[in-house]
Amino acid sequence: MVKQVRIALRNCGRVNPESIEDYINARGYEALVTCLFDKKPADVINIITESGLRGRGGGGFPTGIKWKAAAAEVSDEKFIICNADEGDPGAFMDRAVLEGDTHSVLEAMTIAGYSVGADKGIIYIRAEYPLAIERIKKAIEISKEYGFLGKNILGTEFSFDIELKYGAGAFVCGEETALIASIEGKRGEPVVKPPYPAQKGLWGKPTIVNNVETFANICPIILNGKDWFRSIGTQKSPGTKVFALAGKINNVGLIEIPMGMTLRNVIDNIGGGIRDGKEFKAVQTGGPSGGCITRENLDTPIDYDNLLSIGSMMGSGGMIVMDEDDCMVNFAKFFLEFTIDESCGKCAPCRVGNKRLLELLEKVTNGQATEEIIPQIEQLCATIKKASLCGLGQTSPNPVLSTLRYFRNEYDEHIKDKKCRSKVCKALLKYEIVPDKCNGCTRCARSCPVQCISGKVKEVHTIDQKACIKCGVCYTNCKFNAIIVS
Amino acid sequence: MKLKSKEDFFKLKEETVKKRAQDKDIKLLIGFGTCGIAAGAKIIEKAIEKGLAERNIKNAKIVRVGCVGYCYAEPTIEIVYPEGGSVILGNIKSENALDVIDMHILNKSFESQYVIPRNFE
Amino acid sequence: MAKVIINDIPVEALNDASILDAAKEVDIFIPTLCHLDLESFNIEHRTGSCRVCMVEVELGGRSKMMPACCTPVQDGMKIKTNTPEIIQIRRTVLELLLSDHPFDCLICAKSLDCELQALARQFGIDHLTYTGERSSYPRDTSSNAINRDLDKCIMCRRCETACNEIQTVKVLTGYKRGFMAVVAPPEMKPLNDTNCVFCGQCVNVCPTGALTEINYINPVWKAINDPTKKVIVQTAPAVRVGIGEEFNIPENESATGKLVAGLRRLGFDAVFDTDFSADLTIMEEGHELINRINKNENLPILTSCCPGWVNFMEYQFPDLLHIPSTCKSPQQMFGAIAKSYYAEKIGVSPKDLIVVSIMPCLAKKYEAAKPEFINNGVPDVDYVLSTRELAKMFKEAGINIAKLKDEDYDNPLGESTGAGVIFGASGGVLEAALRTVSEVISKTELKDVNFVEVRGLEGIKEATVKIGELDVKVAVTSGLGNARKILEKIRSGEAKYHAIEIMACPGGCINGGGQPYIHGDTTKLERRMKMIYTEDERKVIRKSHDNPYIQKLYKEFLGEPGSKKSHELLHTHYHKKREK
Ligand SMILES: Cc1cc2nc3c(=O)[nH]c(=O)nc-3n(C[C@H](O)[C@H](O)[C@H](O)COP(=O)(O)O)c2cc1C
Ligand code: SF4
Ligand code: SF4
Ligand code: SF4
Ligand code: SF4
Ligand code: SF4
Ligand code: SF4
Repeated sequence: MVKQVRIALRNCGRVNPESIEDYINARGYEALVTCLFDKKPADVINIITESGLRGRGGGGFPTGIKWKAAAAEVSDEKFIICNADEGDPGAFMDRAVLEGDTHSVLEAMTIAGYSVGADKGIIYIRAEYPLAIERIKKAIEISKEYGFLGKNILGTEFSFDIELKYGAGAFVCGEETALIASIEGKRGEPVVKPPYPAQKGLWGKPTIVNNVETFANICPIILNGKDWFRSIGTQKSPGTKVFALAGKINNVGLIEIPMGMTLRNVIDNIGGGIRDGKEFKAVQTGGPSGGCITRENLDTPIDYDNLLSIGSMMGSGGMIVMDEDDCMVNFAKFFLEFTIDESCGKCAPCRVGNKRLLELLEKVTNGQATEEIIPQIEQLCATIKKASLCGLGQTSPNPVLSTLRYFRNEYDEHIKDKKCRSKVCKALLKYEIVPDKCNGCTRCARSCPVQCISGKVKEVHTIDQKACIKCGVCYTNCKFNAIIVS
Repeated sequence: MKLKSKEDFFKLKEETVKKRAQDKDIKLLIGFGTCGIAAGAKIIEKAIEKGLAERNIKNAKIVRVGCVGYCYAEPTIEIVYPEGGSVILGNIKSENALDVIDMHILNKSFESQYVIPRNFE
Repeated sequence: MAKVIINDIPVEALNDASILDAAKEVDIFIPTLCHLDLESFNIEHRTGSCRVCMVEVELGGRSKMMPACCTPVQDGMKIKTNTPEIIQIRRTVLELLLSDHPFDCLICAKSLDCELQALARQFGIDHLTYTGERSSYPRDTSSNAINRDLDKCIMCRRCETACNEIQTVKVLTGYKRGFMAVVAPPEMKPLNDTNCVFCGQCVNVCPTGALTEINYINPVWKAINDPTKKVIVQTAPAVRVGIGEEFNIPENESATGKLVAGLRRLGFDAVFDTDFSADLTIMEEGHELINRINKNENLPILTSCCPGWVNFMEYQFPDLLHIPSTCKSPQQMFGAIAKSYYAEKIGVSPKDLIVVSIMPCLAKKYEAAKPEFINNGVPDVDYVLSTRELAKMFKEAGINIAKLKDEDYDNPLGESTGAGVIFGASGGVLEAALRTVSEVISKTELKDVNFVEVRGLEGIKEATVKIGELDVKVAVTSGLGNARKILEKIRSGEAKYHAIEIMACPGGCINGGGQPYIHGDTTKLERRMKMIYTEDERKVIRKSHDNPYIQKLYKEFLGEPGSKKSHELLHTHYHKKREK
């Protein structure tokens, strides 16, 4: 039986997050003590580097290398930022860690501070996470009482403090440079990199930005060693990844799987299979920046590089399962709508390009598109990807590109045949009455909001196709299954 | 209780671990993450407390823990037995409280209609 | 130094140079739109937001599209600036911008002076591949200075840099997100309901027609055409060194006489000079300074001839309102004298005398309409046109001033000295004051009237000038960000000066919000500045107190500097403005 492996979530559901004793009982703060007393900062960074840990916030950048870069900078002040902005639709991995194992994030940030020479940490968290915020506040307070945080930690020279900053829930504020701008009180907008935050970050000082889940991996690596960590997962992506499994699957929820597990295992074993015995269609990973994975790739081992090569990406851990009832064009549209709502509007390709892209997709789902629309969509996607300023724009066409790659036939059906096989795109639907089955009960005619169904009592009814607004009310009202949709 | 050295820390740790090892209570871990609370964890907690009192059980303790990830089955309770082993129960309603207590605390059963599969180590 | 290869040409560039600058070294030009380099002020706006300057950068085996304007060169970079793919991407980006832009070129104030339009032309755009909904916002004509038509905003953010960083007024910010994002005051407030000081620096840098001046050309035509009105015009010092650019008058040729001739052809009844009232300002302000120095109280004195700066002070330094000179600006002094002394002299009722000002400035539009400058419903100055609007009037009337023979200003309000004309450049007011004050205090004639220490485009200049026994410490600042620095030092007592000249616009009125657009070419400002001092040198009289018409004005009408009548007509008072 294929099982989850819990590193980041190791204490979630096991310890009372509000009890520091529970945490200490679960080897809490042992990693910090080891680092402070037995390891030089450079040693800690080496362990993290050699463990192969990659950022879990989406990009997969090697964490040790980031720390090394910040450690190498000479500055009177450095910052450690924990990115808890978690804005992907449906994602709540970071919230679960912060609520369920609060101290482990504080401990890891403190270790990061020790490693790079920072004495100040900031947790940037969305204000919509009141429970997590409350627990973090309590945890900071008690850690200070115990001497795990604050001045001269455990009697050493090293001091470290953590404070909270609240995000207003803009997705783009999760992008590290926008996040920093937001902490500085500016409009939450990305800025051009380089310079990277590790060189010039918050208030122009070297700054580490890491995701919550990345931090949650630090203490186990320190305690169990790099080789232990490397023994889990794949060569290039050691360790595990937490996913929020959602969509048409039986066991929706939070899962942590070793890298390299196949999607098939995730769906069939951990997820308990597709809901209602329907046909699997695709899985979407990487949220609005990702793409879909189809049947043919079900046996691809999940890791950063493999997902990229099949046109999706790891992202922060959204995993949405789709079945035969999902229309892939509509699905691409859904994510694009999200992107457009969340774009900061700073750069032209993302601000205007995505809007135009959505308008093109709307043409497809409305049945107004002609065949030359596909090259137009492709060219627009290429420009948005290559010319946008930040990761949001650079990845926003991915859902479109990936559905085009794997479900070109569905696009073609919409465009040429004006048909939506999943019966999702309303404008393409046709409601018809089957004369053989209709007994003239008049129920449909009475329920139609635009009164486009005619027919005498006890005679076959007909729908005026031109006037029909495809609301589907007649379809649900007919007790004799005389109305069909196509 | 400020810790001032490595030794302070390990002393505290040892004490904590020892204290925990001596604790022979059955633990009822109720998922108190945002999702658990939204699904009714607080109500379940009350019902269980009431049930434990009704059955006059003294060797069981409720612990509020974070999210375990079984969103599809919230609210969840994991029952951990001091002698080892545990069961995870899902989709608990307050009217099931006595039932759960009878089956899993008094009888220490590992099976019931409430048990959901554990899919991690 | 970093060694890079651009389109197969090896280039050595400074380590922090941008790819854009490195490419320029070898005459490779990369198109830009949002980028703006105000070299003379050491201010570079590079947000990298328009994405028109994308180039392909190969480094360490990886190749990526990067914005040339804000990517620093790095040793070993291989850069391509014009592959078909790059060109396609740039074109698509530009088309996208155009697809969210009104096709108003034919009826747009910025047409032919618009950087977006120029770029579209450069790319040979003749159709749009992508069209769709356009973002639209209410037009803001709330003030009498600045017209905001945000439908034309391309989010280059230059205005934000101008307002927030250079001027530190901070009324502009990105507003809303995504497709509806635009630059506006917080919550989209109309400009008039903000702390905007109407310096117009945002207008100066805006590449498109999103920010322009409120245009008063039509009412001026109407006034000229009204037989019951006598219409006179005054021209500010900096106008004469700017207007020539609109008519391709050779760089080192004075446009003053042609300007006068053109104005006469437009039909003004008399063509006067704000330089005259600049001389008058020196008489009054000099008098104030001498008084304060003699009593050694309430120092430093701050100049008050720039309404942009006066506005700024009223909002942001209400605790220092006692230190600026109480003198009105030269524009308002002119209006006051015109509608009293001059109206009386020619026997016209003030309400039938229309005073039009030609100004390099948008704040002057705001100033002219201030309630304190309106008597019984008759404003001292009726209409203010910017240099740009005047150029449009000339063009509309078929007057090419480049072809006109030089003519002289009318009298009595047209005679001025070199001291008056240098008001147009940063440092000029102070220099003019020093010329007069030193002679009055020391009672000996200056050997050299040139105080070169206070000239130039630097934001903050300081000098100590020996007047008689006294070391007079002076400072000159231009740009409100620089003004803020000095004012904060005054507030804290850290800085001690006798007199400070402050101009809102960086470089002074030569760079005013109403001047012909320079599109980032600050050498144009250097030329304007040079021309100002050339005009000064050409004048026979170079000290305000030697202006015979000024002397006559005091004799016939005002009495002496600081007299009761002077105070009534030429001085004002300041109000604390509530921060909005
Ligand atoms: C649009 C956008 C949104 C992002 N949102 C998040 C987020 O919510 N949480 C996060 O940790 N990283 C987010 N990132 C990634 C961050 O920019 C950054 O790479 C990350 O926090 C680095 O941490 P890591 O290396 O530990 O993953 C986002 C990036 C982009 C482009
Ligand atoms: S890509 Fe989108 S979100 Fe990122 S800076 Fe550009 S407009 Fe903003
Ligand atoms: S409701 Fe069904 S059976 Fe009744 S009239 Fe309509 S189509 Fe016919
Ligand atoms: S702003 Fe420029 S491009 Fe836009 S309408 Fe005006 S002239 Fe044309
Ligand atoms: S006129 Fe000056 S103060 Fe007003 S918005 Fe423009 S730059 Fe800012
Ligand atoms: S108003 Fe003008 S200067 Fe400001 S962002 Fe828009 S286009 Fe740029
Ligand atoms: S410096 Fe000159 S142009 Fe600028 S606001 Fe002041 S008076 Fe006007």
